[in-house]
Amino acid sequence: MTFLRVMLFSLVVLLAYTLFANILPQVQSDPPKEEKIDLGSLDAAGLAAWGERIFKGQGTCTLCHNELGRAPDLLKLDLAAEFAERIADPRYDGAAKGLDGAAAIEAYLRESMLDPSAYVVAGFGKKGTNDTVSPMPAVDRPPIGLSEAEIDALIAFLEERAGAEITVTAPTGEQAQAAAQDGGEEETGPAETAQAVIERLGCAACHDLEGSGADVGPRLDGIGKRYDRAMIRQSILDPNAHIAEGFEPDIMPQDYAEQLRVSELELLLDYLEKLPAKEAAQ
Amino acid sequence: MNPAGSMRRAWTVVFLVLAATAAALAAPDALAQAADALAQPAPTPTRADYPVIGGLHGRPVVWGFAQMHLFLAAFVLAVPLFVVVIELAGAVTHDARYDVMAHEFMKISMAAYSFTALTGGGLALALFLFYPVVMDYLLKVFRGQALIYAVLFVLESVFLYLYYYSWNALRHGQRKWFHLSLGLVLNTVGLTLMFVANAWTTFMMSPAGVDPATGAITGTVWAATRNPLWNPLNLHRFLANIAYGGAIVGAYAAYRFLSVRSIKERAHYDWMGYTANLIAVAGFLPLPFAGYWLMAEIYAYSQQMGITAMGGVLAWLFIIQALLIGTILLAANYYLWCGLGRTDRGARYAPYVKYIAVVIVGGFLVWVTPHTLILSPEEIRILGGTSHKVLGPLGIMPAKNTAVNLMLVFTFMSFQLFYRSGRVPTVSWAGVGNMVIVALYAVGIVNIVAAGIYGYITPTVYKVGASVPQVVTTLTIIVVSLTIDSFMARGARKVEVHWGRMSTRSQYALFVLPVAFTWLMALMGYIRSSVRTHWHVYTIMKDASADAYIPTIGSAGNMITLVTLAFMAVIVFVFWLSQLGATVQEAPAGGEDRS
Amino acid sequence: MKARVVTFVIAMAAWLVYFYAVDWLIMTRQGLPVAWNLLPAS
Repeated sequence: MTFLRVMLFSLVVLLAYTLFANILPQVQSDPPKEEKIDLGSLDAAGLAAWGERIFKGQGTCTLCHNELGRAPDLLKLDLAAEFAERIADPRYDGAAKGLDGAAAIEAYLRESMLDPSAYVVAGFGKKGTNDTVSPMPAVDRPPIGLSEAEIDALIAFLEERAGAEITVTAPTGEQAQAAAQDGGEEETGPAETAQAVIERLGCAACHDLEGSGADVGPRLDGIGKRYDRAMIRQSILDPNAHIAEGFEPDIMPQDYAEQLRVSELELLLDYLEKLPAKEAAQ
Repeated sequence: MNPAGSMRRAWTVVFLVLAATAAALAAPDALAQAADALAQPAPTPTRADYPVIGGLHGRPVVWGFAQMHLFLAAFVLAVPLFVVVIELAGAVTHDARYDVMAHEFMKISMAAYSFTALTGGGLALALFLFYPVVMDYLLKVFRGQALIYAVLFVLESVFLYLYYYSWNALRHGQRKWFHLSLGLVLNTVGLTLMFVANAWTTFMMSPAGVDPATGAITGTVWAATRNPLWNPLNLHRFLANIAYGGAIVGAYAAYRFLSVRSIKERAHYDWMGYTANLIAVAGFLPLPFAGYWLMAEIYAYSQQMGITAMGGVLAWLFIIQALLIGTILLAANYYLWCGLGRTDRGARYAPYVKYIAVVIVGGFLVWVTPHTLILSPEEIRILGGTSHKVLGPLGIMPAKNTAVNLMLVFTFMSFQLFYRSGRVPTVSWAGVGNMVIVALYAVGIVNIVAAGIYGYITPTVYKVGASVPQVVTTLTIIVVSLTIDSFMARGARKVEVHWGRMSTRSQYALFVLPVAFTWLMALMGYIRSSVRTHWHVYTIMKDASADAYIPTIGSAGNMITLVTLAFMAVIVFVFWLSQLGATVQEAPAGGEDRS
Repeated sequence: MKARVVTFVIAMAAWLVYFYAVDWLIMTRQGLPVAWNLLPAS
C-alpha cells in the first residue's frame, strides 16, 4: 500500500514536469538549409535581399546583434550616422580610414566581418580588454563559415539599410559557382609593406604596434634585441612554443603560417627586428 | 598467519595494480595509429551513412541508452564516494552506527552495477551501429584511451567487489584502514572512468588537438582530453553525482521508514534519511557555482554556443531548470524543518521557519521568471515589447544570481538551525559567537542584495562581474558558520534527539528529491547535447543525419519522462533485490522439510 | 543584554568592512574599476 502511494506520488510529480515542458512555446531548431542561389541572375536589390536572409538566418547575426545589448543592434540603429561616426572616431585606424562615402562603408563592413577586432565599438569589447578585442568571431571561418559571395550579400544588405549606394556586385558565371561552394578565400596579392601585413592580420589589436597601445600581448618594441630572427619567426608561426612571462598560452592565433606569404613574413620580420625600444614605461 | 606480513603483501598488490594503471594511463599515445591515418581530415558523412535498423533511427535509441547509463553510472560512482567518508567517520569516532549505515548504503547499490554495465554495453553497441562514421573519427582522436577505458572497467569491478565483500573480514584495527584504502582506490578508478568519458563528451563540444579547419588530428590524446570544457564538466559532474547519490539512497531510507514497525528500526531509517538528505544538500550547495563555471567556459570558448544555450533556442530550458531546482530546494528545506521536531529545543526555532520559507519561495519565483520570450508579432504588440515591462527585469542575470545565492544561504540556515537544536553550547564565548554569526548573515544578505542591485544600474560587463562577490559571500557565510559552530560544539550538552519522530508527509519530501534530480539531470543532458546544434563535433564534423535538428522541449520532456520512469523501475528492482537478499524463509512448522 | 547589542554592532561593522574590501578586490581584479561610492568609475 505504501509502495503504491509512493509510486503514485512520484508519477504525479513527473506528470507535472512533463506537462510544464509541453505547454511552453515549442521551437524546433533545424540545421541551416543549403540554399541554392543562381548567383548570375542577381541584381543589387536581389543581392541585398539575399543578404538580409543570411543576416537573419544562417549567418546567425541576430543571435548577438539585437536589442539585448551584447552587440550593436544593426536592425534598429541609424546605420548611416552610426558608420560615419565610427569611421570618424579618432580610435579608428582601419581599412576605411582615408576613404569616404560608399567605399568607406564597404571597406568598414568587410573589415568588421573578417577582422572584428580591428575596431571595436565603445563598450562592446571583451571584458578587461578596454574595447580592443571583439567577442565576435570572424564570419568566414567556422562556426559561421560564410563564403565570399555571402559576405558580399551581407555588405549589400547593410549598405542598403545605411542608405548608401550598393558597391558590391553579385559574382558572375564560374566565379559564382566557386564562391557558392567554398569558404571565401581572399584573392588579393601579397602585401607590399610590413604595416599592410600588420593591418591585415590585426596584430595591433593585441600588441602595441603603430601606436595602438594594446596590451593584450607582450610589448614588441626592441624585440630585435631580445630575440634573434629565428625566435621571432617561431613566435609568429607557433605562438605557444614560448610564452612571455605574465602572459597566457592559447590566446594568439595559431594559424598565421597559413595566412602569411613567405614574402610577407620576411617583411614582418625585417620590421620587427628593427623596431626600436621605447623609453622605459613608467 | 603473520598479520604484519599479510598486510605488507596486500599493500604490495595494491601498489602494483596502481602502478600498472598509472603506466597505462600515461601511455595512450604509445598505442597510436600510423601518422598518415591521423593526418586525414575529419569525415563528412552523408545521409546514407546513418543506418536505420528495424525502423529505428539512431537518435532516440542512443539517447535512451545514454541517459539510462548516465543515471546508473552517476549512482554507482557516487555511493562509494560518500560511503568511504561515512566509514571513515565511523573509524575515527569509534561509533559502530556509521559503519553499519555505510555498509547498508553499499549493499543497496550493488545490484545497480550490473545494470550500469548492461546499459553501457547497449550504449556502445547503439553508437557503433547507428553512428559508425562518428565513432570511427572519435576512436582515431582518442586512440589508445578506449583500451584504457576498458581496463579501468575491469579495475572498477575488481575493487568494487573487493571493497564490498571484504567489509566484515576487514572490520577492525589495521585491517579497517586497509579496507578504507580499498575504498579510496575504488573511488580513484571510478572518478578516472568519469573523467575519460567526460573527455569524449566535451571534445565533441569544444574540440582541441585537431586542426580547426579540417579536423585532422594534430595533437596528442592528452591535448584532445584537456579541451576547454573538460575540467568544468568534471567538477560539475563530480558534485552533482554526490548530490544525486544522496537523494536516491534517501528515497530508500524514506521508504523503509514508512514500511518498518519497530521503533528502533524507524529511528535507524530516520537517521539514514537525514544523512542522505545532508549528503544531497551538501553536494548541491556548491553546484550552481560549478554550473556557472561550466557556462562561463562555454561562453569563453564560443560566444555563439553560449548564447544558443541561454539566450537563444534553449533559453526556456533554464526556466524548467529553475522549476526543478526550486522543487529540490523546497523539498530539502521542508525535510529539515520537519526535522526540527525531533528535539524539544528545535521547537524554539519553529517560528523562524516561515521567514525562510518566504525567501525560498520568493527566490524560486524570481528565478523562474523568464526575460526573453519567443513571441508572435501580435503578442509583442499586446505585451508592448519582447519582455514584460515589470517582470522582465526579474529575468536577467542580476536578479537570478541574487535569488539563487539567497536561496542557498537560507537553505544552509535551515541546516544550521537543525544542527544547533541538538546541542546546547557550554563554552564561555557562546554569546559572542552567536552575535558574530547573526551579524555575518545580516551583512552577507545585504551584500548579496547590494551586488545584485549594482548589477542592475551598471552596464552588462558589471552584471556578470557582480555575481562573483555574491558567490564569495555565500561561501563565506557557510564556511565561517560551520567553523564557529564546530568550535562551539566542543563540550556542548547534547540534547536528546528523538530519531524516528517524523511525520509521514516529511518522508515524501525525500521521494521528491530523486525524482526531480533525475529529471533535472536528463534535462541538462538534453541541453549539453543540443548546444552542439547540427554538429557531431562542433565546427569540425557536421551532423548529416535526418535527426540533425534540436527537438522541441515538449518532445524532449516526453523522452525524459520515459527514461526517468525506466530508471525508477530499475532502482525499485535494485532496492527490492537487496531486501530479498536479506530475507530467509523459515522452515515449515510440521517438522522436517520434505520439499 | 547591552553586552550582546554592543558585540553585535561591532561584529556588523567588522563584517561590513570585510565584505566591502572583498567586493572591491574582486571587482578590480576583474578589470572593473570601482569608485569609492560603489559606482563604476566612468
